[in-house]
Amino acid sequence: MKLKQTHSTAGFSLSEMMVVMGITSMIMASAIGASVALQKSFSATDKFFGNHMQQIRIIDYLSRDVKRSTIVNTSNDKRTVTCTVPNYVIQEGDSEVPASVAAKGVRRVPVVTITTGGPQIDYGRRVGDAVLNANSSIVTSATAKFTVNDVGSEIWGAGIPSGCKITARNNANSVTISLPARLTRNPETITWARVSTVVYALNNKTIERRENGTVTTIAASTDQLVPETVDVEQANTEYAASTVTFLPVFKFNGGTQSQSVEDERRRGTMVFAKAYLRNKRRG
Amino acid sequence: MRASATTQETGSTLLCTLGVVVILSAVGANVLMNCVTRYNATAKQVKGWKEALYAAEAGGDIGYAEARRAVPDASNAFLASRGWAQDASATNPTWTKTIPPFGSDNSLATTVSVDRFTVVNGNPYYRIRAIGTAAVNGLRRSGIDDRMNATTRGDSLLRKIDFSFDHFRATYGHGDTLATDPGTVANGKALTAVPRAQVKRRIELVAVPVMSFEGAIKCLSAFAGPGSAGVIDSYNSINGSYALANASGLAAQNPNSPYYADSRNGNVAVNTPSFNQGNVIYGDVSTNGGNLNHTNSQITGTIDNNVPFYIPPWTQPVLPAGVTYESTSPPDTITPPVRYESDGVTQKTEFWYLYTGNFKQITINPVYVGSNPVETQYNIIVNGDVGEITVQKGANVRIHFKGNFSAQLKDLDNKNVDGYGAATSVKMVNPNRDNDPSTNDSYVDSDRTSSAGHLMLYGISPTNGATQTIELHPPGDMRAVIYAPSANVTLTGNPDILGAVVCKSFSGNGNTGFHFDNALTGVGIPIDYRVASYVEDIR
Repeated sequence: MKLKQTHSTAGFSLSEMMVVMGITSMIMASAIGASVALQKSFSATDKFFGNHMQQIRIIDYLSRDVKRSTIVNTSNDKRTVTCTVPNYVIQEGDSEVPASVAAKGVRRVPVVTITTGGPQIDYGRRVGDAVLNANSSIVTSATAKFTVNDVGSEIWGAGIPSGCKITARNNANSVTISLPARLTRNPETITWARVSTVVYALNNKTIERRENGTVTTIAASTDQLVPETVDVEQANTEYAASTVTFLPVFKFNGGTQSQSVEDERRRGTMVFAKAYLRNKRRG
Repeated sequence: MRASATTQETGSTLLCTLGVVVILSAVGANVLMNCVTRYNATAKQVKGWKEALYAAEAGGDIGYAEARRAVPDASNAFLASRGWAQDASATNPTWTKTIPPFGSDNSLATTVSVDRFTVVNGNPYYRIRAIGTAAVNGLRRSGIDDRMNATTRGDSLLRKIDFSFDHFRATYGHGDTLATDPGTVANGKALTAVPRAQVKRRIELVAVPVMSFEGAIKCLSAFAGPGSAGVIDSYNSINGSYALANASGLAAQNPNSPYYADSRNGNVAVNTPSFNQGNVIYGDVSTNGGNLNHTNSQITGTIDNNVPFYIPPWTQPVLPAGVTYESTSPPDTITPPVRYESDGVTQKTEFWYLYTGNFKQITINPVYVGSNPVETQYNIIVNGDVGEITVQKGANVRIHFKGNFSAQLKDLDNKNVDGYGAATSVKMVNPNRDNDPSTNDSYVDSDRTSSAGHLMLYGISPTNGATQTIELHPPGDMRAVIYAPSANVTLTGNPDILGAVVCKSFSGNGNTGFHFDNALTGVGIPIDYRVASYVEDIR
C-alpha cells in the first residue's frame, strides 16, 4: 500500500518572502516607533502629573503655614517666604520645661495681652516680677527661667518698646532685649511669645522647608519647579499669593525653544493659591 | 487506508501570545499603578486633606457662634438644649459638641470643644478646639505619592492619613503628651482602629471679647472735630497721668519721649464718608467711603476709607440672678451698704440701682477699708436724664440712661486719678484671696489704672429709633467714657476730655483736647466676640 503524501512541500518564493518581510518590517517599525512614542508620551505625562502633584504639595504646605502665621515676609525675588508661626507645643529646651518636665509635649495655654487694638493672643510665657530700668536693655526676673530657646522671642510689657525681641540669654534670670526699656518699672509684667520660623526657599532643583533650621525637602524636580509668593498687606488683612510653575519636558518641533516659547509653556503649568493670615495683627 | 499526518505547528503561537500578554500586562500594570497613585493622591487624598480642614473650621465656627451668645449674658451660651455637654472632669469650664456626619455620603464629621481658659477684667475668653475628619475613599493604602528621591518623602509628611489606625491618638493621645511617653488612660494614648481610611485635622481658635472702647472716637453717622485749636491723641494711664506724659511738651510730637509710643493711638472711625477735621489727629482714621489721604488731612497714622462697621444698639442690662436693686429713688449721696462675702470679712463691692426719674446732683462713694477706698462697682439704671455727678475716688460707676445728658463739665466731677493703686492708695478685692477669714488677704492694691474708666455713661438706645442727645459744655474737663450708639454728642468750648466716645455722631469745636487712654481697651463692656488666634496642630 502506498501512503499518500499529504505533507505540503510547497514554499514561498523569494519574492513573496521579501514582500512579507518588507511588510513585516514596516509593521514592526511602526509598532516599535509607536511603542517608543507611547513610552515617551507616558513618561512625559507621568512627569507632568508628578510635577503637578508637587505643585499641589508646595501650595498646600505654604497655605497651611501662612494661615497660622502671625507674620509673613517674602523676598524681593519672590522665591523665599519666611513665616513666623506661634509655637503651639512645648518642646525640649523651652523655658517651661525646667519648671516642669511633664510640660514637654503639652499644648500651650494662650496668653492674653490687652493692647490698643484689643486683646492679643500669644503662645508664650508671662511673669509678673520683671525689673526694667529706663534706657537699659537688660530685663531680669527671678521666676522666668529663661532658656536659649527664648532668644528671638518677641517680648512686651508696659515699659518695653513695641516690636522688641530677646536677643540674648544672660542667665536663667536675665535676658538682653533688642531695644532699651522706655521706663523704669519694678515689678513689671512681661510676656514673651515662643515662635517658630518657617522658611521656604528654592535650593537648586529642590524646594526646601526649614522650620527652626530643620530642613525638609518638600519637592524636587529636574523640570525647574519655581514657586513665587507675594505678601500683600492691607489695612485690615494680609495674604500671600503664591504661584508654582514648571517647565514640562514635552518637545515641540524637535529643537531648542526660544525663551518666550518656554515662558509660554511654563505659564501653562501655573498653579495659583491665595492664603490669608488668620492671625494678622493690626499695626 | 490513508493515514493523516497530525503535525503540531501551533504551540509556539500560544507561547508567543502568552508572552505578549505578559508584556502588555506588565506595561498596563505599570501604567495603572502610576495612574492609580496619581488618582488617589489628587482625587482622594488631597480632597480628604482639604475637606478635613473645612470640617474642622466648621466646628470652629460652631464654637465661635456659640461663644458670641455669651454677650450680654454668659449664661446664654453653651446650653444643653443646643447640644452642648459640659465636661465635668475638665479643669476649666468646658463644653463639647459632636456634629452629625455631613457632606457627600456623610464623609465628614467634626467635634468641637470649648473651654473658658481665662477671665480678664470679668470677661470670659474662650478656647475653641475642633477636630475635622474626612474619609479617604477607596481601598486602604492604595498608594501614596511619596516619590521624590531615595531619601525624601513627599506627601506622607504633609497629609497624614490614618489608613488603619488613628496615628495622632497612637502618638500624642489627647494632644498633651510626647511620642515617647507610655500610653495611659489620662493621656489618651492608645492604638485606635479607624473604620475606614481618614484624615483628621485639628485647629484651635481663641474667641476674645470685643470691648466697647477700642479707640478714641467711633461714630456711626458723622464726625466733626477736633476744633481748629484742638488735638486728638492718646496716653496710657498705666504710666500715670496725661499731664505727666506730656510734661515736656506734646509727647506725640517728640519721638524721643518714653511716652511717644502710647501717644499716637487717638484713633477715629466713622461709618460714613462724613468726616470733617479741624486739627491734628495723632492716630489712625477710617471712614466708610470717604476720600481722606495724608495730603488733604492732618492724620499721623494710617488712613483707610473702606472700613464699614456695625455697633449694636445698647439695651438695658439684665439684673443678675439673685441680685436686687438697692434703691429706686435718687438720694443726694450714694453710700454702699455694708455686706460681706462668704468669708465674713471681705466687703461686697458690687451694687445695682434703678432710678425711675432723673439722676442729677448725685455724689457716689466707694467702700472704704480704713482710710483706703476700695474699687466699688456701681451699675445704675436711669429711666430719665443724667446731669451733675460727683464720683469719689475708688467708685466705678456705670450709668445706663434712657434720657439725655447735658451738663457743664465742671459738674461731672470724677475724683479718680490715673495710675496703679500702689500710687493712688486705692485698694481692690483680692481676686486670688482664699476663703479663710484669718489670712487677712481680702484686699490688694488696685490694678485699675484709668480714671476715665471709673465713670462710664451708657446711653440705652430708644426703641422707637429716636436720637438721644449728649451735650458737654464748658467750663471744666471730663474724665469719662461715653457709649451711646443712638446719641449725638456735642462738645463745645475748650474742655480737655480724657476717655473715649462711641456714638451716633460727634461734633467738637473750639480748643478741645481729646486724649484717649490706651488702658481703656481692657475695661468697658463686651459687645461681641472675635476670633483673635488661629493655630493648627500639624503633628
